[in-house]
Amino acid sequence: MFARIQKGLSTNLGHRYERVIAVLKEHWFTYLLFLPTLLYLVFIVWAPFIRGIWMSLHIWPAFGVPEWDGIQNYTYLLGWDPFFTSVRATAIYMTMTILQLILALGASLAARNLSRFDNIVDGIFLIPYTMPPVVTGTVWLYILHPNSGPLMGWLLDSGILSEPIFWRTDGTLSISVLTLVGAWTFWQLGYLIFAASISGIPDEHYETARVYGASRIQQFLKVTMPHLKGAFIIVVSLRIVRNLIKVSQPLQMTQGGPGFDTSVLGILLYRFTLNQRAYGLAFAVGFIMFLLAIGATFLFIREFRRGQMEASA
Amino acid sequence: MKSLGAAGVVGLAGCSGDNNGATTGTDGGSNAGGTTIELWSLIHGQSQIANDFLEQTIQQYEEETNNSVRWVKENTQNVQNGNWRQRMNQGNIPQLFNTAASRTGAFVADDLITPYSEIIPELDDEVVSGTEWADDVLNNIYRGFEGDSRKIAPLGFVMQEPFVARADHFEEAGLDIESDFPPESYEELIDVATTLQEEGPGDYGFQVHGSPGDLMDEIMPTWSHSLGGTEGLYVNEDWDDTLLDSDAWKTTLQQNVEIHRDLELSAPNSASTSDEDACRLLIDGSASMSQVGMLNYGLLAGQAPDMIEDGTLQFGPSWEGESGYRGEFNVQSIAMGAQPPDMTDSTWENKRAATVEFLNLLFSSEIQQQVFDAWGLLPYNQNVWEDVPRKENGIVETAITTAEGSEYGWQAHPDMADIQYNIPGPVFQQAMTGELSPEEACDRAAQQIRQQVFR
Repeated sequence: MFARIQKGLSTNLGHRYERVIAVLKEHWFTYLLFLPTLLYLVFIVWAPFIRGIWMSLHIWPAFGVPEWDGIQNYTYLLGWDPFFTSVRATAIYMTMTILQLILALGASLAARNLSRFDNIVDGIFLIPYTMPPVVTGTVWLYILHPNSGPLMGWLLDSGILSEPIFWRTDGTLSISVLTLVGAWTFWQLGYLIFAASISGIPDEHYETARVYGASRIQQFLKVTMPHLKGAFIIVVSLRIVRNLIKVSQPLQMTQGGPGFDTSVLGILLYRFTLNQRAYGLAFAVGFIMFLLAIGATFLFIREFRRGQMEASA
Repeated sequence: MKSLGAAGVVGLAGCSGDNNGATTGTDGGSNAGGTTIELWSLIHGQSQIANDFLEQTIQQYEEETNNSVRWVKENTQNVQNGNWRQRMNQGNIPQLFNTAASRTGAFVADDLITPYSEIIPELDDEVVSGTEWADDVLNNIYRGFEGDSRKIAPLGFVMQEPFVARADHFEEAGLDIESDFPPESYEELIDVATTLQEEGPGDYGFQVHGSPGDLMDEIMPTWSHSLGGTEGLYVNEDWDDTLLDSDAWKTTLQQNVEIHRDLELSAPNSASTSDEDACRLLIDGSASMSQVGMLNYGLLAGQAPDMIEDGTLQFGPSWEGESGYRGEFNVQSIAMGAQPPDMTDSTWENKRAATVEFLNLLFSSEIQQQVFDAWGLLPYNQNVWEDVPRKENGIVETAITTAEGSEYGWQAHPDMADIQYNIPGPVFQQAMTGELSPEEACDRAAQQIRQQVFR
């Protein structure tokens, strides 16, 4: 019996091996072209990443001999209050993904209906995206400055506020400001993808819908949305990953404070890496960030597909 | 960003010094045989004046000897992020490098320096006699290392942490700047600050600093050390534990929180303000008094030259606390690098001799007389203290009085950046925002330092 299973298995493996060889022989040039990318991914992305996981299991100073530490870096983080403050800040900061989605979708739908000046509108929407985040951060720091910022000045002059809001000394206000500024700074990528998808929807679909008496909302739900599902997945996935690794703008605007209230995980990682040179802890934070990004993206895609399947059923 | 020295720069004629030693003279003679030494500096970055003064000092050195200097203008970030340490560990060791002494511990630990104690016998007599007063200070800064603790030489001292006040506010509040300033105790400070706020033209009687960096290196350590002596330093005598949860630190943090949150003598956003912000508030008249580092003298002189010149802004030393100390030495240092591994002994001997010549010039009375105006530093060479031109605002006397009432400086522990700033800064700030009590903040900060640094 065992010998028969073993024989069947080896025969099966043998067939597979032959198939792989046949495919490689037939498409060798295609695989050759793919090889540089594969090597890049293995040596520049995955090997350092796996080494990073290995480092996270050590006390790994910038200088000196690394020391095996097991999962101590992780247990330290999980028992360290500021880490959870940081996770909370990250969760709040990530809600800018929703704001970006709303802004991007609204702007792309509005721009679709323009028959003239659409290129100018595109330009107006997209030019701010070319600005470095630290520049937009500086602009917003000025606008929101409690003593000299024009917004605070106007709110005080018009009597809406009786005294300036020192938002950088309040954790909740600080993370709210960061989230809103982040949403404003980075929404255009979504606009670009949605606008491209919308422009690919044939006008005939809308005309047919109108012939059958569909309202604007019905056209949006039955014609536009089904075409945007792919774009949704791309935009949300990209934004989740990109928003999770944002460091420069939050660091510039609040330095992660007050306390740890705006120390999103990226800032925590930055501090462990560049300030404390504690690479083991830094990679532990990095690995947790990776799991969060993968987890959030996976959950979103799964739920989205489930929704799609239920709708089509 | 700190800025150094700005006001009233003295003339920098390339005249010869009166060095008694044999190495540096005006005849172009040199023991180094015309070699090139490399200098990595940070001090030049404080201001244009600071840059010009170092440049002229180098020129003078090159003219007086046959040697030359390869001057590499560095930045603080490269020290803090380990770039210097990495380069030096790879064999790229300059003959001289200048940074804060509290950042030099890692270089000492890695044997990347030539101990200053080995160089002292080669310095001019005039330099040795004028600088030996600071040996105790150096011993206290480097005491965690084995052997002679004079590891690295001071370029000069930033005395922590003078009071600065608006004399016109004192007058309008019915106070006397001569007798009521500087306050002699915490209680007196609160009285004066309350009167200034209630009776004077300013909005805030005493501005404290709550940004994580300045919370840890301005008012807090000065008060803590003056209250608790060695218990108020960052690390203990053996350098194997932090003292941030000592009673001295807890009391001091409590006092800062009290001024900001309970007494409201400081601006409402003080939980995130810096010493530079305090300077601006003093200049625009919102604040009447504060304590800001000497490094801010350049900023004040640049933005309010008239107030600095006519004494509207007055400086005064911090009080002698229960420990008898007024404050601390924040040492700007100049270190001689170790012999690079790939350098032959004969080349090294030439470079070493040339480096000693440069240090002799740097510590000479001629140069040291000018470091206050050019670099905002109290001179290392005590022989010139009397010759530093006095100002209406009292900054020179304040620096000297503070130095005379101090023995300790920011310690040069190899992980000092983590102990002093990176770990406790945000935690202490949580006390300023009211998120933690001062006691909790001190306990948590100390616990985190123990877990991350001393484990």
